[in-house]
Amino acid sequence: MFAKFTTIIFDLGDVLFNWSPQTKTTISPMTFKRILSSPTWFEYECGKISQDSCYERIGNQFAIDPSEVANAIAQAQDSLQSNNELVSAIQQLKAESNGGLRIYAMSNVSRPDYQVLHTKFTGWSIFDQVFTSGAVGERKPGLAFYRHVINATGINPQNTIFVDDTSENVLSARSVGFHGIIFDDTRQVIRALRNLVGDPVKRGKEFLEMNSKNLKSTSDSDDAMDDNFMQLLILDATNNR
Amino acid sequence: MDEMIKYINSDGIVQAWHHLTSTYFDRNRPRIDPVVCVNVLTLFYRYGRGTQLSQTFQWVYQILYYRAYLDGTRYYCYPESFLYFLNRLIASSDSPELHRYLKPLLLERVLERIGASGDAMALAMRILVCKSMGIRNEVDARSLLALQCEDGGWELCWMFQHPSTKTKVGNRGLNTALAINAINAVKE
Repeated sequence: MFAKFTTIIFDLGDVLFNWSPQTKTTISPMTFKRILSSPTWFEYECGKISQDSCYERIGNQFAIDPSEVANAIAQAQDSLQSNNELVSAIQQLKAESNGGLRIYAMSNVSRPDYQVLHTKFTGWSIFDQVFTSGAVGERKPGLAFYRHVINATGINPQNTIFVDDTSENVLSARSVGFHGIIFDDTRQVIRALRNLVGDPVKRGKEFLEMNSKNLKSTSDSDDAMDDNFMQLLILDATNNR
Repeated sequence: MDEMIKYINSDGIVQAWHHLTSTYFDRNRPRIDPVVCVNVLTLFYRYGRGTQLSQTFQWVYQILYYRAYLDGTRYYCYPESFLYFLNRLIASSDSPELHRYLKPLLLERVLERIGASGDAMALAMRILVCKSMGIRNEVDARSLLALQCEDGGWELCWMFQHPSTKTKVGNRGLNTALAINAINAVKE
């Protein structure tokens, strides 16, 4: 249960980047999401078809002008914003590990879309490597994509944390031995990562030392209060002060 | 200790002081609380005077036997406090009634709490009692690990409650110290 985690793999969309399906085109957010989860789009993500033929086929399937599809995609890309809170937490974890932590990205994204994404963010250096479905030719939750990443990096899945907002992607990750975290709330995920990567006892002791002589008791009606019983219990538990 | 014995009520049970007003033994406000009884017993057993409080001891045993602590006690918010302080009582002396009579029942009672919901303090206390009983409680340790905060401490958990005002009191330092001990207990 005290596995030593040396690698974290992050999803990009809706984890490290937020974006909006709300566009000024005739394509509603709901239709937009259906497009992005259509078999045609999946083929495009895996580089099996070109951007042009993807837009054309999507146009046919959803009865939308292909240029409108292209517009919607472009507008969604303009709405991309990096999750800076998560980015700086990753930087911090990496710095604290003294080179003991490798960070990878693993994203379902076509080659053309990844090229655009690349221009939207300056912090790519946090990643040791970025794996995209477009380049690999496989997409999550397909196991082949995970196996490709494991082989290409030589990582041990049991020392690897995998963060993704889609539960089926996390399930696949867990099935190959990764420790999966479903991304819901940035702060919760950062906390979970710290608790997995850090040494709990060392961090706890640092907390006690940093706050020593100031470990006041708290009540739910007024903030701090002096009591000696809890101080004695702390003494009993730590044999210190 | 001689002063404390004066606070035994007609049932033979030592009565509580009022923590939150720091009037330790206040004869004007006689209260009984099982955890306070356990802590007084700990003191008496440590000095070889446990038999002076045999009725208090018997009451504490009955509470454990009938699980009367499951909704917390007058001053203590959750069941694990009672189990944790009982464990300290057992460690206070090698007296046979503690080790041959009380300890096997405490083992049973803490085993049945494993996996139950609880905050970081409750989990840490449970793990530490298990450890004393020779049980490695990984189930609760997993939950406890996930509750560590970003600053390295564990979040505030309420330990005492003021019975009349319902004010709750806790201490992050204590939660954290117990959590560290609990994790070390499972690591060993």
